[in-house]
Amino acid sequence: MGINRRAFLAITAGLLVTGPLYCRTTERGICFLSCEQDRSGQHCAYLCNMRGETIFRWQLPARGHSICVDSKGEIAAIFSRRPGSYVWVVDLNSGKILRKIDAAAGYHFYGHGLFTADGEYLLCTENYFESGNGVIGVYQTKQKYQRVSEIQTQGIGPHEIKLLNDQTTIAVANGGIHTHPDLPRIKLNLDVMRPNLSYLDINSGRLIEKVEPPENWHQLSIRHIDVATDNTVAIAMQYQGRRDHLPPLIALHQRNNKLQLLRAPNEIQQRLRNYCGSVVFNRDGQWFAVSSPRGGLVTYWSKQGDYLGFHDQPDACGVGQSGNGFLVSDGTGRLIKIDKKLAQSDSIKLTDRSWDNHLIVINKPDRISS
Amino acid sequence: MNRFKAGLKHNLLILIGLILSLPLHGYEFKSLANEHILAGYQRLLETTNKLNYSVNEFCTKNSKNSLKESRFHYKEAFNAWQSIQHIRFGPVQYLSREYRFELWPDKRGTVSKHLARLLKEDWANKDKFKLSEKSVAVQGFPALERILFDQNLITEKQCQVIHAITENLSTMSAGIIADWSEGDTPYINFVANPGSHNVIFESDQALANQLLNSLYTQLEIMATQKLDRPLGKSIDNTKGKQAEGWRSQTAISALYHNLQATRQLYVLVFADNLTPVLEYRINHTYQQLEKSLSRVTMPLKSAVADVTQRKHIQQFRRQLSNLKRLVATELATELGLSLGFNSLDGD
Repeated sequence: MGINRRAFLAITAGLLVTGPLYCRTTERGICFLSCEQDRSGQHCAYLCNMRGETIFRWQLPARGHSICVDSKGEIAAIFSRRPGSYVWVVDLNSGKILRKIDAAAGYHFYGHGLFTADGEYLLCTENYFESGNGVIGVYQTKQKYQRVSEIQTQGIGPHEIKLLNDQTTIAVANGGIHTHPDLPRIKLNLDVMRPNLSYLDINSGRLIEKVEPPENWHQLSIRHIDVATDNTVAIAMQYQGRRDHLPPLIALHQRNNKLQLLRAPNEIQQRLRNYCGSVVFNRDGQWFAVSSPRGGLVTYWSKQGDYLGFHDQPDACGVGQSGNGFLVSDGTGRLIKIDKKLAQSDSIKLTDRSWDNHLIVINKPDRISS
Repeated sequence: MNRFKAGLKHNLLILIGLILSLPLHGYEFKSLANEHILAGYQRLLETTNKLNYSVNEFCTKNSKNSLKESRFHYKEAFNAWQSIQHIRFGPVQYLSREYRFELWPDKRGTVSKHLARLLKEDWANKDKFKLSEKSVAVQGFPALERILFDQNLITEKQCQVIHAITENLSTMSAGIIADWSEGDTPYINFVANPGSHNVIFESDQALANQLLNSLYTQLEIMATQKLDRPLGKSIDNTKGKQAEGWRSQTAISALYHNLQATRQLYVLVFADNLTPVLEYRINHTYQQLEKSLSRVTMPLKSAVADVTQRKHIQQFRRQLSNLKRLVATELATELGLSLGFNSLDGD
C-alpha cells in the first residue's frame, strides 16, 4: 500500500497533537480556531472550547494567519501569513493533518481562503508575484488538494474572500498593494494603488461587479470583508497614506450600489489609527464588529451603517461570532465575549500566547449530543 | 486613638502607594524630537553629503587615496544611519525610504541580483538614469558597499551608480528632515505635542507606546538579525557573511551605534519615569553591554568563528536578552505601556 514519506510524516505529525479533549456538552459543541504565537516565538494553530481548553494544537512551520472551515464543520484549512508558503488542511474530529499544501512555484499565499459550499474545492488567495496579478488558487479536495485551476481576482493583492448566499459568487477584497518576495515587506506601488472589491462567479471566473474607493482615497487598502445573510458586504480597510489623513476605514456594499463609506465619531475615528483588522457580522446579520488593534478597540456598526459603539481591548484583532454577539481575541492572550448590548459577558486569558489576527467560531453539530 | 492612628497609617500607606504608582516625572517629548530624532537626521544629512562629495571626487580623480576617503565617509554615513535606524515611524517611512537606505537582511540576495541587472542596462543617455526610479535594492548602503568595498578597481559605469546612490542618500536625508520640520504639517509637531488635538498621537501614552515599540524592535533586530544569524548554531556552523556590512567590516560599529541610540532614547523618554531600582538595573545592563561589546575587537564576520571573541559576542547577546526582558516586561508594566502583537505589524 502506498503510504509515501510525506503522507507518513503528515500522519505522525497528526498523532503529536494534543487531545482529544472533546468540546463539552454544556458548550453545545461550540469551539473556536485561531493561530497564535507562544512566548518562545513558536507558531501554532489551536482548536479550543469556549473555556479556552485545548482540543487540538498544531505546530506550524511559520506564522499563521487565518483559518477557514468547511460547511460541515469537520475540516479546516490553516493559512500561512503573507507571503505564505503553506496551507495545512486538518481534520477537526481527529486532529489529523490531512494535507500540507505548498505554494505553487512563482506564487505565494495571502493568508485567507474558503471551502466551497459543496466541499469540492478549497479556494486560496494568492500572489503571482512576477506580474503582481492576484489570483485564487483552486484546489480539489478529493484529489489530494491538487491545484486544478486559478481565477483572476481582477486586482492586486487579494486578501480575504467570502461566499455570497447563492454559494457561487464570491466577494474578493483586492488590497491593491503589490509586493514581491525579493523585497519583503516593501509595498511597491503605493502611489498608484487601486484597491477594489470584486464579485466573481466561481464556476466561470467571470467578473460580475467591481467597486473601488473614491479616487482621493485610492490608498485605502480593502483587506477584510464579511458577508451578511442578505449579501450585504461589510469592509474593513487599512490606509496606506499619511497618518495625519483621517480617511473613512469601514464601508458597506450592496450589489449594484455605490460603496457606503462609514465614519465613527471623531474621537473614535482618530483612535482607529487608520487601521482595521477583522470584520465579522453577528449571527443574524444585523450588526457587525470591526477590530482596530493599533487603537486597541473594537467598533460596532449596524447593517445600515450606523455607529453603535465600541469596547476597549488592547491589541484586539481576532473576531468571531458568539451567541448573537462576538468573541474577540488579542495579543495578550485574552478572549472577551461581547453580547448584543455591547457588554462584556465573559472573558478568559491564556497568558502563554498571543492570539494572531483572526479567529473563527464553529458550531459542531455532532458534538451537541456528545 | 489607636483606631485613629491605624486609620492614619492606612491613609499614609495609600498615599505612598499612590505616589509610587504615579509616573515620577511625566513625559517630555520636545527634547527627544529635537536632540535625538532631528539631530540624528541632521547627522545623516551631513555625513551623506560628505560621502556624496567624496565619491564624486573619487569618480573624477579615481585615485587610490580618494577611494580610501570615500570608504571612510561611507562608514561615517552608515554609522549615522545606524544611530537613527530605530526610528521606524514618520517620514522615514514615506516613499519606502527606510528600505531604500538599507535593504537588510537580504535573504534572497536581491541586492546582488538587482545591482547586476542595473549594471547590465545600457544608459545611452546619461540623463535618463534616475536611481530613485530603480529597484529599492540598488538605492542604499548595501549596493554602495558592494561596489565600494569589493574591489579596488571601479569602472566608470559602477562610478555612475555609486554616485547616483550617494546623491540619492543625501536627497532622501534632506527629504526626511523637510518632512519632519517643514510644510503645513511638519511631523515634529505630532511628536512634540501629543494630546487629544493631535491626530497621530492622541495622548502621551500613545506616543510612549510607539517609542517603546521603537526601542524594543531595535533590540530585537540586534539580537535576532544582527547577531543570531552570523553566530549560527555553533562555532562549527557560523554564518559570518550574514553579518550586516561584512564587506566594510561595519557590523560591530553598527551594533555600537544602535546600542548608544537606544540608550539615548531610553534616557530621554523613560528613565526619569521609572522606579530607581528598575532605572538602576537598566542602566547597569547598558553598561555591561558596552563593556562586552568593547571586548569584540575583530570584525563580526570572523569574530563569530574565533573561540574567545565568540564568547564575548555570546555574552553580549545574553545581556541583550536581559535588556529586552527588562524593557518588554518590567518597564512596560511600570509605565502601563504595551508592546503589542497584532498592533505591531499588521496584515
